[in-house]
Amino acid sequence: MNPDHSQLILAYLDGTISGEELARLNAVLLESAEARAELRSWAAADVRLRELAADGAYAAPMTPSRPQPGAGKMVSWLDRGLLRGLRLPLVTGLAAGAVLTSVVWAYVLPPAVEPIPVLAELLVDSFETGAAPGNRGVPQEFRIWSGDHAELAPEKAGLVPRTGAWMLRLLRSDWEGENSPLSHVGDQLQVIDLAAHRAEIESGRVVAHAEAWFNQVAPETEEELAGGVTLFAFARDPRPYRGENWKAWYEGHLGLSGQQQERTDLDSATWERVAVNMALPTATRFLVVHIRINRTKPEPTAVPVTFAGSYVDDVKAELLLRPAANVAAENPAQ
Amino acid sequence: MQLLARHEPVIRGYLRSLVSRAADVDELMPDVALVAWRKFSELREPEAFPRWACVIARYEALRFRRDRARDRLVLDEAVIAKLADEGAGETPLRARQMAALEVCVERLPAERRELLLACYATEAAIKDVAAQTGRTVDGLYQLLRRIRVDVQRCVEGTLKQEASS
Repeated sequence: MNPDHSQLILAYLDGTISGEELARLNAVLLESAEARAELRSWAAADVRLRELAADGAYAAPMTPSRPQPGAGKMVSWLDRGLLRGLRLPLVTGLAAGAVLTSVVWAYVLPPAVEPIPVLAELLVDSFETGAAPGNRGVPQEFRIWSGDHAELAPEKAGLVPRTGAWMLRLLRSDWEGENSPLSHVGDQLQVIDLAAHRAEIESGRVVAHAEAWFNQVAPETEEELAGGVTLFAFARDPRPYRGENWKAWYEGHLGLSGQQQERTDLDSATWERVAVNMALPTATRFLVVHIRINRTKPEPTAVPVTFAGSYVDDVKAELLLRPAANVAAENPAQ
Repeated sequence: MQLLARHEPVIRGYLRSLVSRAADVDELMPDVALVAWRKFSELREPEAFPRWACVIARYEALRFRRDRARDRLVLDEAVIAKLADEGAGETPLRARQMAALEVCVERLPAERRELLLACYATEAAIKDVAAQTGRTVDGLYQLLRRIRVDVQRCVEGTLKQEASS
């Protein structure tokens, strides 16, 4: 370890290096293989230290005074890949299930000690209306399900809808017109306009909640699947972004909930509930409720997956209004 | 894709050596993962995965640098290319280094360990920690540097000991 090199390298990695120092560092690195090896070593240390800090393995009393956007558990590529994968099922598939059961994200709330009062009911759907879900990707209308191939289904092979006579069956991991060859996640989404709740959202007190119930009947297959729910908050209407622009769509979110998911057991008599909460950023104007089914052991597939028997019922989304005193106590500097 | 998950830390470390900000790694990893997934069928031997993924990361990092070079202080492209070429074969070493680092951090006196990790908690942590500990930002960076050098020396010693045993 060369002290002069270390000083320059650490300043570079810390983002405190000056232009003159950077020129010196460039010259050193261009000439010295030893210096380059040292930079790589410091870079690996930088990554590991950030991981240790994010893991909270060693409790530190000196934490930032206010939560920073993106603070908390480190966002891994798996997590972000999962988000992008809503359009790119190949990535969704690889990310979901096998690794994630409950990914914590920015804006995810700690469990509430007391129930939070309901501000507005946004979505209550047990799929009894006869409105078939869309299969052409991102919904183009508010409050309409659309995404991958899906259908309304009655009782089948002993699996009874949790409520009413109908439930949603997620059929395949691709949507009409999609060309992805490596898909194994079935998605359905709803876009909800929150204009009517703008004032409350701007107060910083609104929490979005969503939940869905999942079940599976596939005695002939040993494939393990998981059902999941995610919420996305947007400042702008996300519906116009389709096709290749879905990537921008999902990168453009203001906030998102945890990627909550639960493995669906093979007992058709039991339904598994998945629920998420998300404190809405004050600029939120649109909410996306995303439900999905995915393999828990992703493997590359040559063709999109056809799910043998994966069902969703009783999807609910609502806005909750946190007491002003609680919010103020959490943000004393504001 | 278990391969990606297993080798993620060293690939992140490799990427970190090619970009100027820690946040750039978070931005690039999804792209690396996506390309790796698309090209996965081209991988012949699972054992070659780390180096193979590093080649993908190298390309993504150079593309990223070209996009951002005007905006900030970044290393010359020729330097990044050298760093990338040499680093792609070092993933086993980096994996051992990262494991040793955790042990060395654990060995630090509690106060130093907590200070060190607090500084890495978020991008804005340095200012917060400086304020909370009554130090200037420059003073905190100097202290941080000393702690990190101690940790790196411990890591180097551990790796040498491993190599000789």
